[in-house]
Amino acid sequence: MENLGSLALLLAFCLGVYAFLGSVVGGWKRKPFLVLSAQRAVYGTWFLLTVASALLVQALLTSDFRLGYVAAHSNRDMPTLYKFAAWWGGQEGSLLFWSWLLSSYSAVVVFTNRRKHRGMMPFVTAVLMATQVFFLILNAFVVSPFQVLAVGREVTAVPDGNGLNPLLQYWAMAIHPPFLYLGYVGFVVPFAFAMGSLITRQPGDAWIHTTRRWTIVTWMFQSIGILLGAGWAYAVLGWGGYWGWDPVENASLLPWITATAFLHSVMMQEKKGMMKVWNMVLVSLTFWLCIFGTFLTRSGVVSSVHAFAQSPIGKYFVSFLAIVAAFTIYVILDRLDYLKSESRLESVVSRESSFLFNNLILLASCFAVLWGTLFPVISEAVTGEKISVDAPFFNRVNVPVGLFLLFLTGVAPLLAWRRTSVDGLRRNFLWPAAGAVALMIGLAAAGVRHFYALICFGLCLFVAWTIAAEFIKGARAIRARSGQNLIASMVELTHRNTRRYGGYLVHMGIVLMFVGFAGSAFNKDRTIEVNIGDSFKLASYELTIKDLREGDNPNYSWHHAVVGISKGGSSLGVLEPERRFYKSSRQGTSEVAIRRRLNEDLYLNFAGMNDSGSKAVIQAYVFPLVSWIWIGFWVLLFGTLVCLVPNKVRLQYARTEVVGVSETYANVEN
Amino acid sequence: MKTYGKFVALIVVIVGTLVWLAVGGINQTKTYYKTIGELREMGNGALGKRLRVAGDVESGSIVRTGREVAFTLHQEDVRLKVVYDGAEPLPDTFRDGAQALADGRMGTDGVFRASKIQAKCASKYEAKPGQKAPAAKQAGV
Amino acid sequence: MIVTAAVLITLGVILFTLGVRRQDLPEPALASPTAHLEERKAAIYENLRDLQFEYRVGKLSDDDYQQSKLVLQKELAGVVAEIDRIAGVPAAPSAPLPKPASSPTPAAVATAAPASSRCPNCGASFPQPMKFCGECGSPMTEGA
Repeated sequence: MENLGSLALLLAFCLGVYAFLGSVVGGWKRKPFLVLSAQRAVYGTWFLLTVASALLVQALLTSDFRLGYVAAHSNRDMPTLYKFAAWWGGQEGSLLFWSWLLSSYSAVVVFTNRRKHRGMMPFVTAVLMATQVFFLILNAFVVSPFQVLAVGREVTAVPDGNGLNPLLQYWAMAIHPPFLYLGYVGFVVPFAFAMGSLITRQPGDAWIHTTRRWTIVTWMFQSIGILLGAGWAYAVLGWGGYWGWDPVENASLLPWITATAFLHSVMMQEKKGMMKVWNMVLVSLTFWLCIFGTFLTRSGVVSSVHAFAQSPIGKYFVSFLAIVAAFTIYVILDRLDYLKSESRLESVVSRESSFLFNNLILLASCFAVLWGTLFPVISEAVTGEKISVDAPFFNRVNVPVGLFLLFLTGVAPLLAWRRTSVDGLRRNFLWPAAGAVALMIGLAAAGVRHFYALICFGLCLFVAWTIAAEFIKGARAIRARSGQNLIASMVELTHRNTRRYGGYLVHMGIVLMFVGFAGSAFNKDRTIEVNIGDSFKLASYELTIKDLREGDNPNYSWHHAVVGISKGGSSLGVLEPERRFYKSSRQGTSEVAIRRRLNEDLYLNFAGMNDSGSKAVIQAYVFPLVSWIWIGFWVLLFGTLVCLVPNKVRLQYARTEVVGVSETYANVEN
Repeated sequence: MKTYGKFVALIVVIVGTLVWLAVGGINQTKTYYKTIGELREMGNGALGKRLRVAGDVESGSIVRTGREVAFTLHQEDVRLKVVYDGAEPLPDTFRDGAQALADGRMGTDGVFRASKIQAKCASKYEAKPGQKAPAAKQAGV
Repeated sequence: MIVTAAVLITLGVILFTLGVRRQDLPEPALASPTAHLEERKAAIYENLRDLQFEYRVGKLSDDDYQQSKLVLQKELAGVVAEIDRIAGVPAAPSAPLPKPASSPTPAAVATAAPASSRCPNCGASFPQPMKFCGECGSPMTEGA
């Protein structure tokens, strides 16, 4: 079977090259037969990659331990879900998964646009296929998942595999990589359209309209992926945090930041015809960072001390990244005239400039994260000493950045396009600002002394207030005409402009998340060695160890604690943290126990037994407000989905006509 | 042009603030990657600097006393005594023979005081013939 | 078995890719030379509608609203003229586009304009006399 898989990958590579060349030549010389044939090659590539993936998944499910990949990432006792998830559990498989996703996206793009964008599509296909070919080179020639274990020239099988890293044997982690990859890979599509439009100098912003949904869906997948990762870190890793500024985490955050900037600044282009160069740069940068993120995740260039030279795929990625950068820079510079802005900035206090600052801040934060992540590599190249920076660096830069962004989130949607007068500012911001200041004074009086947390809570109220005011004011205006009740009016309002009001909901989700982030300023923790019957205190909780058990099953052995919790004398039930030791990978994991409440989480981690084995080491944490991060995530997800609902068609343009003194003034009937 | 002047001024202020924060952040938290051999050569120059040292955990050297964990890192023949007293639990992968990264400072007594330990364990099949080196890092952690 | 499957897959894919017949080619799409301008026009209409709604909701001051509206209307007129030019319609015999400097500022209008340019229903004011209010559509007959 592995021969068939290798053959499929090899054929897919050939077809990919053919699709790329056919599209370029066909598009350039205007040969419709060649273009169509290249499009069919795209479907063919998808088919072959599906065959290859199916063969790998089958090998995983049937535990075919002759394959090196299966032996390294699966074992017999793993549940079927995780055997399937092993498809993306290791380097070779996850690169195949990447390839397969990309080919699926390409096939969908080619199919849905088969009658549209005649001039631009061959080049869109070419960009997609160039990326595809790069990944197929890795799949077929560099890190093939179909390599068999061999002793000398004999193919051998091992009796049982290593198993998937037990830390990854958790539901959120099983689906975290696919979502992240859906996001990573998805950004190839807007990039391909942007490049296609740029290469063929399409008039207008057709690429933006075509890729609007793609971009939002992709962004949504990225957000889900990042949040699943954070949720997994919180619930599984047992160090009690959700974000550690690890290089791999950063790698997923970087394209998300630029994608967010792109989603905002693209509105400027749609509405005002401005920032065209900037949007090209952002969409290219996002694509670049997606590839870069895959590289960072896969090659371990930063995480270990001198891993760069060891990684077999590092140099391929570096070359590809260099080619992409050179190509996009050349194309953008060569077609600067085509990207001329149609209007200009008029005032510092305007929607336009708030978009500009939002972009500036996002990019600056992206750059800071990138810089921090790559600091070891950069410093080694410059000074010869490998120097790394730590979480405090990222926090120091990104906390103020985040707060400023939060501020803009509240302010920007209320600023008028072009310019806003002082009167306009007063109308919109007087009460929210007063409320925020009052809250900050109140909290400070109540004993909250943490500076950033205070600011954050104030801003959260400010933003939430302005968003709520937007909904209520809009709904009132509709109610005044239609006579519906306020809730129905709000739904109507949202339905009329789903992107705008869905966007507000996303902002609301971000606000709730910031409430959760601010809560981390008040975390408490305690590590203690205990035995049955011992009790200790943390914050207002009293914890008593009721039982310690241990046991064994084919996959892992475990230690288990039953901890009774009470507060002020009244019992709140028990928490049962567990410690597991996975046999085949010889690795231990923690199953933390969390009592999730809206105001604070109580989090218990069974860190292990002490040396003599007589006492259990328990770590207890209290995390205030952390649940709001996950609640905010659901709100964000809902808002994104709202953005994807098509606008309710209102009075169409048929009824609008230009009246007045011929062309001097155009009025709109609404 | 006056508007553009304002923009430029604002942008300079924002970028300037960020650069200031970033530079401060780097100076505050920068950690030098050193091999154990390099650390020996630095002598007293290593005192007071934040350091990250890599090496293999010597088998049987892990000793726990209360919250402190003492062990020895070795790289080829050079050895380094390390005492870990951080708040976080040691990673699950930390055990005899694992490759470990210790973050911390050098003590005057020649013992390395680690505040953070990262560890990576050797895979069972690493040395099998006919197979390339395993992935450096597991899926998207 | 595997050899057969391999041969079948290879042949199938190659035939599918290269076997493009004339009737498989999609119909050539109708390309409109003004499509991108129509898009632009739609975008400006959208902007105008948003502006109007924000004004009605009370987010904008009168001053900001009038100025922005004027700019958008001018932009729209420009796009419409461009569409006509490309479509080959001779430019409508009309007054040339007013230069920004010569257009009356709304502030001046608000003070100098007669009562007829202010809507009695919603209070919106207009730089020129109108029969019906451009905001709410109610008749503005008092002053006429």
